[in-house]
Amino acid sequence: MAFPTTGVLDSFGGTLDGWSSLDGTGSVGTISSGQWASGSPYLWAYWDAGTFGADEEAYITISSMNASVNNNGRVFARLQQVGTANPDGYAVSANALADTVEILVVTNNADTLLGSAISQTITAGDSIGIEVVGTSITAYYKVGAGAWASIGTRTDSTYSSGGYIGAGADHYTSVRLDDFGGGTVVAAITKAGVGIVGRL
Amino acid sequence: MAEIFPNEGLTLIYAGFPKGGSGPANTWIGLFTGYSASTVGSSIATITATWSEVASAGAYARATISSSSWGTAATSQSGWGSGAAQVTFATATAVWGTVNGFLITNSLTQGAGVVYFGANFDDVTGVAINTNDVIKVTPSWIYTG
Repeated sequence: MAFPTTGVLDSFGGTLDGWSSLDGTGSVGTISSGQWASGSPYLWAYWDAGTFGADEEAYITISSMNASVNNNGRVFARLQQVGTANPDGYAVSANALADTVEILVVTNNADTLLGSAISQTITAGDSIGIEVVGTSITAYYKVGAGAWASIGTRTDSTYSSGGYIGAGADHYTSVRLDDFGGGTVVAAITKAGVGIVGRL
Repeated sequence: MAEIFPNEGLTLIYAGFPKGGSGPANTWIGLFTGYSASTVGSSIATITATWSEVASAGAYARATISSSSWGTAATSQSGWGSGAAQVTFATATAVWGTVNGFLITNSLTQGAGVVYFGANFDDVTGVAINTNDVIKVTPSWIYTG
């Protein structure tokens, strides 16, 4: 399936309208030089304009990240219980120190790794994405201005309903994010046709 | 629904049989906005003149169909034909317009090459491709006796 199928929701060129704290207490960060700057010690936020359909996607560009410390950027989908101490959902998280991408199920604000971590060199300017379709949770990665690529899929049925999408970073204020997008996955239009030599 | 192998496409087929030439390693599929959802070009139609392929913008590009993707020929409807695997075009990043069908060509380059055949979609319905849309097309062909 092509990824993404939805457009950018926030390029962080103005104010931080549309974002709320995922756990109700954490920072929603700030805007700095047209990028979303991580709060301290963490930034978990959801796009509060509304929920989306059951099949969701979200993506964001990691404009900067410190490869020498344990910081990460992530995107969320199917978020439930947002704005409380116990949010649930799915996440794809990129860690520049470990050079890994993880697919996570989040339950009561605690991460559980689905499968094993995926090796992926994380470089500033790259983008990460999550797509949740049915019970399949897929991590996408885009190097710089290149093409999106699926880098791993996990299966989980803990959360099946549509919810909010979100993004964030943690541990260090060195993380800068940009160009957040997502929403309900747009189903592909399928067509078929036939060419004929002669007449039926 | 309409379809046609225009003269230029038939010429390439004749070059293989009976002229003994080799076929292409790949074919390429494109989308056209010309004609209508139930009509296609005439026998003299060419890519540059009349098919009105989707413009090379908004992430539109022809997709490659390797020769191995075409299935083994077999009885199909009243003829002998095969189909290729479903082709997924890139997500549109701008409006492509209303697509009335697809082209099978000998070139990857938008607006270039020879059209082997062009056909409307089986459901005889054009489809407006807007930003973020994804279209998948399953092409097939039939020779009849």
